[in-house]
Amino acid sequence: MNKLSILILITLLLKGFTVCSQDLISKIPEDAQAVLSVHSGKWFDLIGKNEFKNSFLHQLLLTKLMDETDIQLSTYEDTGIDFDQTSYFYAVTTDSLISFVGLLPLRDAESFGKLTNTHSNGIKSTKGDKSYIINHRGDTHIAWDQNTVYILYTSIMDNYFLSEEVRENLGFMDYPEIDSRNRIESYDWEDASTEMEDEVPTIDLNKEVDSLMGVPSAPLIMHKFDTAIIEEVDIEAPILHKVDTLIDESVSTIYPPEDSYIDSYNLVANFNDSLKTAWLKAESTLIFDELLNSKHTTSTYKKYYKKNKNKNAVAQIWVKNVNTLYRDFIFYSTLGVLGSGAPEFMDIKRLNFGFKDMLIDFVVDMNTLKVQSKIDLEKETASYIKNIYKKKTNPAFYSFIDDQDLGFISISMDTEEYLKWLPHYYSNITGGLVTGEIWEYIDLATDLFDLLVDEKAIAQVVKGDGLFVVKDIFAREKSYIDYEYDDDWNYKEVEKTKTENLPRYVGMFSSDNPAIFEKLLKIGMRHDKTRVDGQIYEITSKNIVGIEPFILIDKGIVYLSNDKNILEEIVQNKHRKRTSSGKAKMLKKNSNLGMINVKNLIQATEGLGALATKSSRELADNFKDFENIYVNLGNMKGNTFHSELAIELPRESDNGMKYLFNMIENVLEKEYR
Amino acid sequence: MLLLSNSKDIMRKLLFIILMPLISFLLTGCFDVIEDITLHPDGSGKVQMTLNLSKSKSKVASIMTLDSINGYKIPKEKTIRKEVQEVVSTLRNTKGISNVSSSLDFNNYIAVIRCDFSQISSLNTFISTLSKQFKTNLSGYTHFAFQSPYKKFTRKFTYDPTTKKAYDKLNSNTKQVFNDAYYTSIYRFQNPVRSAANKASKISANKKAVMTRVGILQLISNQISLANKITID
Repeated sequence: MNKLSILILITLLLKGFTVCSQDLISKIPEDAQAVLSVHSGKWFDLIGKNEFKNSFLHQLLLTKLMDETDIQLSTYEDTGIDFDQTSYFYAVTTDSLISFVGLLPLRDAESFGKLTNTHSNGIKSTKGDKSYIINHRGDTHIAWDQNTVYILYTSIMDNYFLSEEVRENLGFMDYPEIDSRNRIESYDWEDASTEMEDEVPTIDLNKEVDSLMGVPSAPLIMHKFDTAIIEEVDIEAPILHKVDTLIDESVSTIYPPEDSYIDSYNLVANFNDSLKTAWLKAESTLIFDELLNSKHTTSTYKKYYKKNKNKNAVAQIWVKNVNTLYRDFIFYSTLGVLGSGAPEFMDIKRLNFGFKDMLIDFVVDMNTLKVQSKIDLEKETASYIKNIYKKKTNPAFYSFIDDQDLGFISISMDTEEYLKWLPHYYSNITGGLVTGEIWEYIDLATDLFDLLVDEKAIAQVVKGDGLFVVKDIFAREKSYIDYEYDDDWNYKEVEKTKTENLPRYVGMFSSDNPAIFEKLLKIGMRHDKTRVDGQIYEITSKNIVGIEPFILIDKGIVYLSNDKNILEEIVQNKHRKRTSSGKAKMLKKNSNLGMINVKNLIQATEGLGALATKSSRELADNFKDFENIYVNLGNMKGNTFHSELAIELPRESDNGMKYLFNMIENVLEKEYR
Repeated sequence: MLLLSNSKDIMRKLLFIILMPLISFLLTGCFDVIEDITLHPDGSGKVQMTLNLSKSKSKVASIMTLDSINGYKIPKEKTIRKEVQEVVSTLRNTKGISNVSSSLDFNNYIAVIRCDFSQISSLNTFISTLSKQFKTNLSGYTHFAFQSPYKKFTRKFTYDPTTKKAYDKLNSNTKQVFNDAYYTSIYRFQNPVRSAANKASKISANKKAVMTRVGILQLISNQISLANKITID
């Protein structure tokens, strides 16, 4: 990692988490696709400035920064950055570049400037009233004035250079033909290897390439860019005919065919890379100049931020149009359908998942750390989702929740509404993905699905609510085959046993028409795949692991458990009601809820000596004092879908952030001292 | 029946998906590889390779319900049977190899492949066929040689550094499987053994067999070798 990168990293780390300055927020452009606002003032309120200054982490960061800059620093405040204000980081993507921008408020520009004095990996200059550094590769720029540090890092979208038009415009060379490959296969390496040792002269091809390609090939391509930028690039032009000469006359005659092909390929690759580098430097300089000279006053983000400002948040992430993000980063990467590589019948930009903007808040609420997210949905999608999530959990489920449980997950959806939404959802996706005749067939298929699937009938069989509870961990003896050897190393198979630890669970879902399950289980009995004991069915085919369930159908609920006793208690009406559980009360309020009781889970596993690996034991040791982790899997408010992850930390510190900070301190001290 | 089977598979898969994070911490894994070679004075003989995952069968069974784990595709029982059958077919059509048979026990997760070979080069073909088919090279680059007049049986073993690289890429939970995994080679002869060069080797009481049992983790990290030079009376 070069010094400039370290400087940026340390600057960002020192920012930790932070707030809002109206001046900086106005710098965020309309095309910002995601913005992180870091409210470091709030973070320092929670941790305490003096506590941070006395911390090991503070010393560690200062030492690293001093090593890199040769500047004496006594506190983080000597960096000149104003940690009481909000910093902003945003990303902008185009079809050719992704840019990450950081805007940090400054309290003392002179102190910040000192940090860069001994910097050797960048070119220093000024831009107007701002001090300026650009790294040699040209992808990272830093500038600062009296109030603000501007940081830009750019990265090329490789896909952009797949376009023939782009490659031609930028002067890319074509890679050598595969013909030379064919020659390799017929080459007699056995004979050649001995000849090679004596005959091959030592030529450092890399050196040759470097001397030819050198630093980026500016003049060749610079006429395509802004001429103002050319002046800043002091590099030699590559001489193409020299490259040709080297490949044709020198390399191919000296080296056997494989080397010739690979070297030719490398020459072209290096040449094209140098073009990319020069292009990136020119483009990123334009972007940075635009940032420094911008006078944005309002933007979508600014309006959204004002409306959704959360004073308790340590940091906030805003994502503009999740639909685009989902489409570009998830869908594209999953299918590998990228830009010009997409088939003609696909119009990917029309893909619509029904998502709009998303906001994620990182909040500290007493001893609980919360990650709260909300995503705006398009009106039609919101209407479907509201109907799907309006259903409440079967009240009979609550009695299966106990404060001692290791964890549970509860889902409550309306199956009928969900099935109604499915064709609409896929129609929206495929309607964007494919066009023309193919779309007509898919549209027909979704209509047929809608027609043929009896949503009401399915919803009677599986209503859509379900609860899965991990009660505890139990030990059991398990047999396995090993070998016993005699004195002559003949061996025979012997059966041995070992102790294994497994989770004990009970799961359930509601059904108004469970007869279909009973019919299936009875068919299984005829084929010796299942058997029944009273009301409880057992799957008799291979049950190696020990988590395969016993099944009970009782009073409109299908129960599954790997502990027959739990189901027998239900049949005999001995199942203990535990409706007073605090967690059951939470479930009543929110039907889509997940919970892990970290403390109980670790105690249970440690008690049985069940943690199998060193890493799992270390992990358990770090988290053994955590309380509960809750995941609110989602509910609708208006047209917005809300969800929340909450981590309850021990009450031994003033607040959750302080506890987390102390925990990190301990880990770091173990690591570095 | 198909409906019943599918329902059962879906239910099992769902359970494993929910419980897998917990199960992967709770269940341990380990395995044994046994290479058992009987060599006749004329260089012919028989070989049996055994992979025993029985001690890890709960973990293996739970993993096999999934389609992939940590980016690795998990083969189904049907695929494994097919692959083993392919090996058997290839070996049956290999010159110098006869009496090929195999057994797969999916209750205990034990796989065995055995055959007779007419000369030592056929034994090398057997080993390379298995390595190629199962794309594994736990035993490094192995080459057997038998010099009948001098009564010397040699196992050459070249460490394969790519195995270590592949191992390093695994997560710590998967790496744990190798902590208690062993490679056992047993070589049997008609005449008594005078010496075995590998320090980890032990000569049997009747002097007619040599066993070398090493930890697979040691093999992967090149701390120990399977190379051996056995002199027979």
